[in-house]
Amino acid sequence: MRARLLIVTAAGVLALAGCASHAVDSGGLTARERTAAQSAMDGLQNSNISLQLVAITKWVQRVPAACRIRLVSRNPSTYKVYVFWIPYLAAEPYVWLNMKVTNDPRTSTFHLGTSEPVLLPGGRLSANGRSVNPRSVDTTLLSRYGPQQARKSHETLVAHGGDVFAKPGAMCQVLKNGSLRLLPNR
Amino acid sequence: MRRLRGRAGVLVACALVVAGVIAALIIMKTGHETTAPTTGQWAPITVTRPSVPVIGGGIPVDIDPLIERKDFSTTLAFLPGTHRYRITISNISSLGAINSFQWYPPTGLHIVKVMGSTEGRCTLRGLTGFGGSQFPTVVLHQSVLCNQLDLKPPSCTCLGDGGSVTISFATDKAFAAGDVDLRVRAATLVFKPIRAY
Repeated sequence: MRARLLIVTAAGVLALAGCASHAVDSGGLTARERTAAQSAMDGLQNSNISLQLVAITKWVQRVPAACRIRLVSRNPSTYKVYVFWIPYLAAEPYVWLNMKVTNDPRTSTFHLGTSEPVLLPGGRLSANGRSVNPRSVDTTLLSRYGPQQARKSHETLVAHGGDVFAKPGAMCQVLKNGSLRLLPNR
Repeated sequence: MRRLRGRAGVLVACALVVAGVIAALIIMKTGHETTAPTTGQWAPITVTRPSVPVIGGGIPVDIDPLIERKDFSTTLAFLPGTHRYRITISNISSLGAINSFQWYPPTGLHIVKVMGSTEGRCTLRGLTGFGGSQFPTVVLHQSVLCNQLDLKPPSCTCLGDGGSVTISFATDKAFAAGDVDLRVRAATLVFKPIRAY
């Protein structure tokens, strides 16, 4: 009787061990997939991509509004990575990066897109008050354009991301050195 | 005999339990994220904006010019005829290949026509509908959008040897080469950083 009990317990522990590698988090990633995804992101360190992640953040003067990684293929491991910035000033553009990241930079792709948040050109009025000085910068804060603009920002963010917000995936974070860190799925 | 068989069964079960625990530990360890540093350069990126007064949602002083991008160099040439020009736009960007850009002419200058480009497709854009339907030909806030381009990356942003496109156009008044506002719309980033010196 005692032997049977122990066998059942052992089988349970073995099953648990097996499940540990296949259990998925709320984002649909297993622990092993998260590690592999982070490893692929680490492959971008010290590349032009990490330099541009920092440069774009300085350019638009705001941290990314979205950073998302989605697993698109397990063999070979391929990830879709999407980073989107909403600018601080109305004169700066929305910027997004759509990347397909593999463990080999030769098969990875990195695309940048931009669009103007506000259609009309802004800036300081020239001395006669009739035209805008083309060398001046529109220093209106984008947040001052109100809820309609906020809605447009959100729509633009979603539109350029495609299916990157679907599972399996996780949110990510741009670090000071331009690296990407996977965030835990809650 | 029966007792011996029972003990052997217990031993086998114990061995299975130990093996299971070890397997679980190994799998949990390999599947677990390593503890990465989270301070210094490994902290989340932040933005330090220049300390400027904000009045009515705007900044009433000149802002830091460091945020201006330098992705293009331009050369202007005159074409035969009045106010007809040819502008050559070269890629000097650290991004990589430029696939699309938008050129905003200076306020007050009207581009009458884009006659052609050596690469891609350049079209004149602007806002119509000024005054309802009273002025159907009036186009405000003009820009020239060039897409389907593949302006190759420069070997160094200091050399200006990136890909280039030449656009021919006509304006309603004299145009000065300095009045060029060019903005990247699409680019293919290169993996290896582009030299800056």
